[in-house]
Amino acid sequence: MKLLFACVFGLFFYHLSAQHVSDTKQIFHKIDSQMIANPAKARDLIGFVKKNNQNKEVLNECSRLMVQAYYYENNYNEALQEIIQTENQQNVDGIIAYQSILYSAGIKNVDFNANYSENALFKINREILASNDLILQGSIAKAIQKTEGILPKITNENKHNYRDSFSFILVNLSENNRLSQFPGFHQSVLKIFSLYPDDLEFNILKKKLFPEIISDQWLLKTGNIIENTSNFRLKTLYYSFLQDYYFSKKDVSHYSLISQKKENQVSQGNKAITEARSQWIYLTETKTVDEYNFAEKRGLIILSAIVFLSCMILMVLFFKIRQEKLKGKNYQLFSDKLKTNARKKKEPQVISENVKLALLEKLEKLESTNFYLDPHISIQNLAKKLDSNSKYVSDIINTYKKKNFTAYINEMRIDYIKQKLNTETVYRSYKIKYLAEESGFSSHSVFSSVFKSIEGISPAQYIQNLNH
Amino acid sequence: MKFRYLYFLIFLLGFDCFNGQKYDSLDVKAAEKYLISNPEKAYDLSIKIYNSNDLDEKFKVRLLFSLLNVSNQTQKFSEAIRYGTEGLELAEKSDNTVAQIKFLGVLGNIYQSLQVNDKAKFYLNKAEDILKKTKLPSSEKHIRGNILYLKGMNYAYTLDCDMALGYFDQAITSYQAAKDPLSQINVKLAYLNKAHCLIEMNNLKGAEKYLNLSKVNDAEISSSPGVPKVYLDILNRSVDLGFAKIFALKNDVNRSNEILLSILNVQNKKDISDTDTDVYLQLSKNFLSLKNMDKSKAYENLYQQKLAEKNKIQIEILNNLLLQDQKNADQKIDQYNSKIVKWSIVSVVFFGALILVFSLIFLKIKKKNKYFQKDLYNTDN
Repeated sequence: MKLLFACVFGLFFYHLSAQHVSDTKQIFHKIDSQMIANPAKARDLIGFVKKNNQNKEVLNECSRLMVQAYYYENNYNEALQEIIQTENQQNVDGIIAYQSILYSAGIKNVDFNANYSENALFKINREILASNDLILQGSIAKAIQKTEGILPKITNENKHNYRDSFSFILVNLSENNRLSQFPGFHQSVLKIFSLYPDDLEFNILKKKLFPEIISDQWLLKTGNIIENTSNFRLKTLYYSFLQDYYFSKKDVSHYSLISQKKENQVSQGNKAITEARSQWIYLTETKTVDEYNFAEKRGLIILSAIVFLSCMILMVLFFKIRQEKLKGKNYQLFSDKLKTNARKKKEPQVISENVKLALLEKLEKLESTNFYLDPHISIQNLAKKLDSNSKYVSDIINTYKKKNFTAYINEMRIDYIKQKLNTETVYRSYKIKYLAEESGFSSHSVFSSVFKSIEGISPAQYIQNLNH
Repeated sequence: MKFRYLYFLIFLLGFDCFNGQKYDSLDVKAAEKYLISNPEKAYDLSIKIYNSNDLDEKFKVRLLFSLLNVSNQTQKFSEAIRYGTEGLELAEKSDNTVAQIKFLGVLGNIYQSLQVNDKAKFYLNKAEDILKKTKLPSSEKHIRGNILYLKGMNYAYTLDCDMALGYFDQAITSYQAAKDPLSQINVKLAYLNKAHCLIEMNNLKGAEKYLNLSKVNDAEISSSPGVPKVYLDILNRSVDLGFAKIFALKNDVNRSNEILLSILNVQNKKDISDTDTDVYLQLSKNFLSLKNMDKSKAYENLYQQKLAEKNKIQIEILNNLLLQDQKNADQKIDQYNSKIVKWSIVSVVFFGALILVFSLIFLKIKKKNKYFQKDLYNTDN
């Protein structure tokens, strides 16, 4: 079901887009038919297509046609601006049209960004323009030869590209009776005319180059078109044709009238060309300045990126080095501490004799306070009481009392209780547990065991012996 | 209306600049000597000096101005523009305002003669701006007249005769104040072109007055040493053309034709002016109003022929200029790109070396720490 819906929608949109393409084609067809007789109307249609299309090819086609319309209207200002704005993305058809229009203003050295110099269609146009140059230089024989070589390359498919370039050849041949002086050119010229049978400009040119009986009807019909056309070139050509026509008819009044009209047209055309050249220099200069600014910006970005990246890497490295240095410092400190400790362990503590004697005196003073009766006494406690450290105290006890701390305390406790038992008979009646507590032992079993180890007999036996 | 008398002034400007300078080198004096008689030789000599490396800035500005003028006269316009632009930059750097005005004036003049009106206007406006802020020494007073005259011509070319008249009047006042013999000839050019503008505006009485003022008489020719007679003849023929136009406008076509044909009669083959083009056009118009189609068409053809020749030369110059501009722009971008590549390489090498040194230091410290760490663990264990 989903697939069916997808197919229906797909077909619907395909139909819509096909319809759109077909509409655009029809409009382009209409533009083509209007372009020569009424370029202003053609421009309106181009504007409409441009507004309603996003397709790159269609937009390129619109730009090309727009430039041509402006050119036919003698509006070089707009034409050149459109050329400079769109030449980058233009296809070969467009570039050929642009080349011909620039050539019409005498601008031949154009460095198009889109490079079509090796394109066959572009080369043909270049050859047609070169042939026109030969006509202007007066090398008509060479021009004939060149044109004869070009014409077989022109087909129904590509002929629209060369319309303007061929019109330059025909217009220049029509000046100063050039064609009548070179009948060898007739065949090529007729072949060119046969390429554009429905084109009014070529129709007028044919009548100018091959004067024949002109019907009043044709004159009236063409006159009406010219009256209403915005095609400046067509108008100029028609006036030039009429000038020749009235000259041949010896019609002075019409000749004078049309000569004035033609002179106005020619002077307007020349003015537009002069301005176009000046404008093109300005536009290309602006373009090259923009290109230089772009290159400058790009260069600065590249350099900045190199410097920025390098600085970032250097900063990271700098911090890493700092980190490692700190780590190393810590290791060093730790190692030094370890070494000191190890050294301390290895080297015995040497206490001066004065310190020893002072400490011993303090200890003996403390002995008289019966400190050893404290059941929680430890070497640390004792050291604290003596304002010394446990190591020193232990050292003193070992050296001067010739025993370790535990034996020292135990012996003093046993001496104390023995003295009590000897001097105060009441103690003899006390329980062993009480005697142990009195002497600082935490349990009577430890007391008994220590007493026996020192005196060789148990506390109970000792009391018994005293009683006896 | 066509204004075709500018080229004449270019010569006068160039002439003026060379006369007014004192050169340090004997070679430059030789170049100066050949400027009028053999401009190609003058150009070769100037190029030779330019290519020598021991030029100080002040001298280089002067030489570039000479090269600008001699290239302009020999119609090497692309080169003239190149030397002019280089000289202008140097003059700007050294804050030499008088030289700046001179360079801007001649550059504007070149573009004007190529009918590149926008560029011409750009340079002349710049020159005018500097002029407003600068007090010129009395020996250079004529420069003000030249710039104002060129501004007037620029407006005349773009068919704004109202504006042109204002500038011509200012130029005339400046030339009159300058009093040097060259300014007395240049003032006549200003009168002449003012008259042509007045004809364009149909002020025939005013035009006649200024045409009469612009005519150079024999006494003036002999008192203008240094200005070749041929140029003064061209000026007089241009005055005659103006009168012919006035007679045609007054419907005295026969009198007009008489003058026009007499101009063609005296025109010699080596003539450097474009007067004949305008003469043919006027003759064609005159014969048309006399209902003589054959003669009108014949002169129209001659006019078209002359115009086509001129157009051909102009197209050639324009395209050379475009080609040169494109080449210069590409060269500038290439130079900049290679500069960027060079600096990129330098930066990469410099920072690469720094990064390498830092990395080595880092690795060394890390290795040391690793040993330390290992050592400590071993000790602990």
